[in-house]
Amino acid sequence: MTSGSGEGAVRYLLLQAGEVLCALPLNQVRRIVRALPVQPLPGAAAELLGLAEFSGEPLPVLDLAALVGAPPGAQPAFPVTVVAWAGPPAGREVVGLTADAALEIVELAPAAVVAAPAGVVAGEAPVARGAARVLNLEALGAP
Amino acid sequence: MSDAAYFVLRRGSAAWAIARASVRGLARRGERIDLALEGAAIDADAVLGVAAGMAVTPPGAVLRRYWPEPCAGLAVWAGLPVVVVNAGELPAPLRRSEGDPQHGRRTH
Repeated sequence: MTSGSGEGAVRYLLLQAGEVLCALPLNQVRRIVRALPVQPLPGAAAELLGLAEFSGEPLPVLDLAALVGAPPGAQPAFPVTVVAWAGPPAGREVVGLTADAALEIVELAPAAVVAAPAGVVAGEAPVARGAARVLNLEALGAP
Repeated sequence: MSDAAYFVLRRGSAAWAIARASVRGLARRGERIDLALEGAAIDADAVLGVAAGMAVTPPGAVLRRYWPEPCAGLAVWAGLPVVVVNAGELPAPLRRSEGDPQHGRRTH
C-alpha cells in the first residue's frame, strides 16, 4: 500500500484507464472481477459499454477511460470490471466500470486532492506512479 | 419478482423482453420474426424464449443518463442481461421508422 497519507487519509483503489490513473474511493468499491462480457446497447452514449450480468443481476457497465476523457492505452493484459456503488447515498445503484488494470490501494490525505469542478472527476492527486484523477461516483447519476 | 410472462428476443446486439400479454401476434418474415403489438410492431432477429417470474429492476439514473430511451427496467434471463420494454413506448432501437413499409403492420 502506498501511503500518501496524513490526518484523515482516505483509501482509494488505483486503476489504470487508458493512459490515465484513476483513484476510486474504496468505500465505493463492491467487487473487482475479471472483465465481464458486455452486451452493447444500441444508441447508448460512448461512456456506456452496455449491460452485463453480475451475481444474477443486470449491471450497466461504463468505460472508465471514456468517463474521465482518457486517451486509450495499449491493449490491457488483465482488464477488470470494478463493481461499484454510484449515485447519491439516498439513491445509490450498482454499476460496473471497465478499467485496463486494478493496480493497488493507496491512501490520500484530503489536502492532497486538488479539486476539480463538480463531476465524476472530483480532482487530481499525486501518487507514487504519477498523478491520479480522483473519482466521485456519487455524481455519476446526475444529469 | 413479476408473475408476468415475457417474450425474450434478440434485436441487434441486445436482448429485450416484452410482456407476453401485449403481443397480438407472431409471424416469420424471412430470417426475422415479427411481433405485432397494439399499433406497433417489432421485427426481431430471434425469439430466445419465454420468461416467467423474472425480477425486473427499474432503470437507474446511470442507465437513463447514458441511454435516454424509455424502458421498464432491466432483468437477467438465462444468464443474459435483458432490457424490459413497454409495448406502448418502445425505445428507438426497437421502433421501425415511419418510412418502413412494415411500420405498424399487424401480423396475425
